[in-house]
Amino acid sequence: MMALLHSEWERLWKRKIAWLFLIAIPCIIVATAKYYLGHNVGIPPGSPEITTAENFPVMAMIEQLIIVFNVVALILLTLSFTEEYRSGQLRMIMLRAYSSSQLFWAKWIAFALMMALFFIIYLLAAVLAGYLLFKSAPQQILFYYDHAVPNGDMILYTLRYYGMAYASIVGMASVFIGIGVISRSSTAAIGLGMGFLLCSLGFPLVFEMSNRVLGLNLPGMLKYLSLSEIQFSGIAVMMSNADALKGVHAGIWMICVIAGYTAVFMTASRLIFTKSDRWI
Amino acid sequence: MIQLMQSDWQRMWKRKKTMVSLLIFVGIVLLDCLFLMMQNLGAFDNVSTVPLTAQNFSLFLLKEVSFFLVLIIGPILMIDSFNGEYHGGQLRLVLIRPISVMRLFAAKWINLAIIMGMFVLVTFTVGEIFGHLFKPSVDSVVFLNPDRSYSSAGAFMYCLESYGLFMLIVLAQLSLTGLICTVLPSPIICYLGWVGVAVGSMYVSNTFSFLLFGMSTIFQWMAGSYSHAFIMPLFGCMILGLAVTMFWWNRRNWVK
Amino acid sequence: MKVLEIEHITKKAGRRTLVGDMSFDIMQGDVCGFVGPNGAGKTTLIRMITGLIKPEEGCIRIEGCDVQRDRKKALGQVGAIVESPIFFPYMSGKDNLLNLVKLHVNIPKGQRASRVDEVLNIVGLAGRGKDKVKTYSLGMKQRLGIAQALLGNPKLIILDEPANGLDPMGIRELRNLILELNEKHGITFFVSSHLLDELQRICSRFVIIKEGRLVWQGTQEQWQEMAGSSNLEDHFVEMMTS
Repeated sequence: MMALLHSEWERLWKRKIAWLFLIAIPCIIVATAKYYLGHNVGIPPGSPEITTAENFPVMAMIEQLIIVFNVVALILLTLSFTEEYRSGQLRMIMLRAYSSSQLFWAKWIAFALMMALFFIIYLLAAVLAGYLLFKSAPQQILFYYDHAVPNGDMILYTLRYYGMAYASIVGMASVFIGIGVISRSSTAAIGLGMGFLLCSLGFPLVFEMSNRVLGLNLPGMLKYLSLSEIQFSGIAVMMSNADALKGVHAGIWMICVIAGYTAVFMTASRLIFTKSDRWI
Repeated sequence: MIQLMQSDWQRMWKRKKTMVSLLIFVGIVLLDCLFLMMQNLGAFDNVSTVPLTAQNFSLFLLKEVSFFLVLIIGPILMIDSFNGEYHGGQLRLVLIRPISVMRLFAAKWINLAIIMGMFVLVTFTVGEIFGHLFKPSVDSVVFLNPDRSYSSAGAFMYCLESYGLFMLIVLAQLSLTGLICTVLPSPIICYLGWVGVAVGSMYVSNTFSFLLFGMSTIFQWMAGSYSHAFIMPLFGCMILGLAVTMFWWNRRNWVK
Repeated sequence: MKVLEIEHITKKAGRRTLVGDMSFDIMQGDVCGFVGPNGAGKTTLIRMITGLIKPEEGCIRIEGCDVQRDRKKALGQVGAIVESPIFFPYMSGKDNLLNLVKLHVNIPKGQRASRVDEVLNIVGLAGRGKDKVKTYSLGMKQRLGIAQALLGNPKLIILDEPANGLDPMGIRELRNLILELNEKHGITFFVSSHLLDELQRICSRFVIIKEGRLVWQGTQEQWQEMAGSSNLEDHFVEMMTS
C-alpha cells in the first residue's frame, strides 16, 4: 500500500499543475496583501475587518479559500480520478497487484497530503507577508468575538482556522471525487464541480429567502448545510466566543455537516470506483 | 469560410455537452425565475435595491445566471472547441485539409459567439416573458441611479443595452479563452488558466473586474457611476486576444 | 511527373535535428515505401508534408504547389493518415466523413453525400457507416482513415504506419486496397512502415532514412541488386547499424 501511495504521490507531484500552484502561492499572497492594504484605508479602527500583521494569515485564507483552494482541489481531483481513468493511463496501475479499493484510498491520501502541504506553505508565506507588509497590533479584534484577543491566542486561533478550512476542503473534495468518478470527460467533471460550488454558494440565499417569504421558521443554522457557506462565514462562527452564538452549537453542527458530506460521498464514490467495469 | 463554420457547427452540436449545457442552462434560468418571483426587490449589490417589476425582471435574471455562463458553460464550450479537439488529436483531421488555419480559428470564434449569443437570448426571452406574466407592470422604472427614471419602452431598451454589454464581455472572454487555450496544453489547465486570469486580473487592476463581475460593472456603467475604464479594456481584450490568437494559430506547429 | 518534391528540408527541436537537409522526389503513380527505424524522423517529415508543422529550412511542393506559401492548393491534392487515425468519437463514421467533406471546396455541395457513399464503398464500410466510430475495431478505423484521405480526390495519399495494430487479414485488405487505388485510380502513395515484408509487396520505390537524414532512395529492383544475395530486411538492418 505504501508503494502504491508513493506512486500516486509521485504522479500527482509530476504534474505541472502542482508546481504551478506552489509557485503561484507567493503571488497569491502578495496580491491578497495588496488588496487588504487598500481595503484597510477605508475601515474604521476597531473593526474586525482591519488587517494586521497577526491576523493576515486568517484574512488571506478567508479571501482565497472559496475560489482558489476549491478550484485547485477540483482540478487535482479531476486529473487524478477522471483524466487518468478516461484516458486509459490508469490501466497501467489496474494491471498491477492492487485492488481498486486500495487504489482509491491511495489516490485520496495522496490528494489529502498534497492539499495539506499547500495549506502549510500558504500559512508560512502568509505569516511572512503579514509581518513584512502589515502593521502589528497589540491585540486582535476578531469576527463574532465579544472582546479583543491577545496575540498569543491569535496563533492558536490561526491554527484552528486553518485546520477547519482544511476539513472543509476535505468535505468539498469528497463531492468532487464523486463527480470525478461518474464524469465521462475532464471538462464535464470540472463543469459539474463548478456547478456544485456555485449552487453551494447560492443555497444560503435561497434558504434565507424561502425561510422569510414562505414563513418556514427553520433554524438559521441550516444555511450551513452549504459547504461553501461554512467556508465563507461558518468557520468564524464556529470558533466564535460571542454569547449570542453560544446556544446554537455551531461547531458541532458544522463538523457534523462536513463529516456527513465526507461519509456519504466517499462511500458512494468508492463503491462506483471499485464496482464499475473498466472499459478503458 | 462558410463551409468551415458549418463543419465546426455540426461537430459542436454533435458533442453531447453542448445540448446538455443548453438544457441545464434553461433549467437554471427557470429556477432563477422562480427564485426571483418569490422576491419583491431586485438587488444591484448588498446595499441598493429597487422593486422587481415586469420592466426590470430580465436584468436581474441575467445577474443571477451570469456566473453560470462566465464560470462554467462558457469556458467549457470554448475550451472544448479551442483546445479539446486539438488535445484529443481529432483536429488533425481538419488541419490536413485545404483550409486556412486562421480562418479555422475565426470560424470557431464566430460559432462560439453565436452559441453564447443563443444562451444570452434565451435568458432575455425567458426573463421578459416571466417578468410580464408574474410581476406588476409599472409606467416608470428606476434602476441603480435613482435620479434617472425610464418609461416602459425606455426600460426595455435599458435592459437590451445591458444584455448587449454582457454579450460584449462574453466576447472578450471568448477571445481571452482562445488565447489561453492556445498557450496552455490541456483542457483542465486551460480551465484553471481562465479562472486564474479572471480572478488574478482583478488583483492587478480593478479595470479588469468586468471579466468576473460583469453584471456589477454593467449596473454601475449604465447608472453612470462606474469609476474605471470599461469599453477600451473590453474591446482591447476582445480584439487583441482575437488577433494574437489568429496570428499564433497560423504560425504554430500542430504536434498532436 | 513529380507529385511530391522534398527540397533540403530541415527541422530542429532545440539543438536536436529531427530532419536534416533531406531531399527526394516522388513521381506520379509510385507506391513509395518510407522506411527508417523508430525516431528516424518519418512522422516529423509527414507532419511537414501535411502542413501540420513548419520546416526551418527548405521547401515542400505537392503537384508544384509550395505547402508553406500555397497551403490550400497544395493540401487540396493530398489525403493523409498521420499517426493513428483519430476521429470524432461522438459521430458515426458517415457523419465524420460528411463533416470533413465540407472542407473540400472542389466538391460541390450537391455531390458531397454521394462522394461520402462512394469512398465508404471503396473501403468496404458502407454497411457500418451509420455506427458510432467508438464502436469500430482498429481495422475499421484504419479503413475509415483511408476513406477520409480519399474524400478530396487526392493525387497523393500519405499513410503513416497504416498497418499498426492490424491483424493479418486487415493487412491483406489494406494491401489490396492500396494496389487497387493505385492501379484503377492512378493515386500515388507514400507509405511509412516498419513492416519491410509488407512494403516489399506493394512498393515500387523506397526512401530510407536514419537519424533524420536520407540514407538511400531508388527502386525496389535497385535495392535488391544492392543487397545481393541477402534479403532486404538483413540489408536494411546492416544499413541502419553501419
